[in-house]
Amino acid sequence: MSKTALIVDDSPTMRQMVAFTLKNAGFSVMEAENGKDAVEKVSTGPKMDIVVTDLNMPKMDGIELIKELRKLSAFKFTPILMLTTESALEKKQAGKAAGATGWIVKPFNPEVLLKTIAKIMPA
Amino acid sequence: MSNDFAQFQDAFFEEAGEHLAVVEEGLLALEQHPEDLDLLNKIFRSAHSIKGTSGMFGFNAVAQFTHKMETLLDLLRNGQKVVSPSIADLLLKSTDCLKTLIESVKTGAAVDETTVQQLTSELATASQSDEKPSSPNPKATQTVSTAGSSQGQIYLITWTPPEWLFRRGLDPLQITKELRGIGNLTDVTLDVSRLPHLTEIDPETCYLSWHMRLATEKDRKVIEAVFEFVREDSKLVIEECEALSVKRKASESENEIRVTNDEQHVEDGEPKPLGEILVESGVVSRETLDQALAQQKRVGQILVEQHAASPQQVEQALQKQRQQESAAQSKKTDTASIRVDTDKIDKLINLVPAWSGCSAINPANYSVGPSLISSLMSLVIKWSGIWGMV
Repeated sequence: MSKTALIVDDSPTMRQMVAFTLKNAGFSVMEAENGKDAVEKVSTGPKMDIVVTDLNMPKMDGIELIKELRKLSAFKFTPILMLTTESALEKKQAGKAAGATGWIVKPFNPEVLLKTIAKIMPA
Repeated sequence: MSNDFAQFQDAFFEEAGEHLAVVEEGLLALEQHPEDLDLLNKIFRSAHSIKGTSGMFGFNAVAQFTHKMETLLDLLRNGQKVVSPSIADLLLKSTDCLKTLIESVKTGAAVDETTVQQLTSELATASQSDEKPSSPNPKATQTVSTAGSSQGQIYLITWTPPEWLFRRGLDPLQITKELRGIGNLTDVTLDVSRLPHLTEIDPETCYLSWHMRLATEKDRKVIEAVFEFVREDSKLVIEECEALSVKRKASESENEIRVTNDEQHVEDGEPKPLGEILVESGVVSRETLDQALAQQKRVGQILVEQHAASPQQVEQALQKQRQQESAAQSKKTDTASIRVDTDKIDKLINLVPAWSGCSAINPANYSVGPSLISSLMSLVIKWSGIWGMV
């Protein structure tokens, strides 16, 4: 059974590129356009093996999303990767404090993205 | 990366057009409502999105120019700068310029470089940017220069992860897996000294530390990068222990480098007999060794010849030795099983409902059936997996 990934980004182009990269690596993906959309989708959807999320999004940003996901038993220990142009330390710290597992800076290299995902996916 | 993503360029141009419209309309509205934070956030997000996505296609001129706009917009939305008419005007002119930059990467149309330069400079001034000019990172240069000269090293690594390690979805096994990928990881020992009594354990808290020995030719930075997501919050000590000598065998290809420690490394755990080592190193031939071995007397024979022991006594001792060997062999094959005190099993059974969150289940109803034994064994295996990690 293929691994499942939730991709959250308000940019459709960025979502498509992340989805393209992950699908090529054998993932089946679910997309959400912001944190609120993501929380709604996972509340009825299947459990995800990994979450890749942007931080700056309308309605519910990535930091809030991570906090919300960590409250759900199905996402308590799920690896969450922040994919963001913000390389500033305070954003990373806020994400980590919220429960993010790791981060990668946009623009991303597909190989680096997959390598980073492999790094944080359970053995 | 651009090749794979080229198919998404049209989607980007379409999306960028929408974002430009949001920025333009937003800036015009902002002149009327300069303190509208929602509006500023909306404009910022659009500029931010253009920057992030354009970088994916290698449209660096677009990404860099948008970055300057974004910096000023960030100061405005954080209240560090006020939306004055001149700033609003500058941002509108910059939006026009951004349009031409995007059009340029789309159609190849020429760009007025003077305007781009001038606006870039004005945006920087308006942001009162104290950003240092992007000079090459001296640290990165240093890494590159030392990486090539690396002769290999043995590192002693002591890692105490943050107690929230599991709660952020991090798996310590991934760390050791990655370390194995960059060198020879040995002597992995688990420090359980901080582990409280079983009844006091919070299963979501990490109480463990690891000591490891890594022989690698990789740079220290590569080792540190393995701990990338936990390093800042971990107690991590990477000590250089001793240098490795790197030997290249003439018959091996250039890529096959055998790394050996100064001490003799024993890979299968059993030292080789002296004769084998002498034959392997070419000191003596196999025939010479066989002849020498044929002359070799066994200790029992020598003792009988010296009248120190009778042949019967030696035979009795040999029988005893055979019995011990046979017992040792059966013990070896029995190591897959473990003995657990029944009191401890009782305690574990009592803990199972608490751990699984099934507090409503009455432990008195448990019978020790195959499924419970199996669950307990999974638990034990899981823990021993974390503890072993060798």
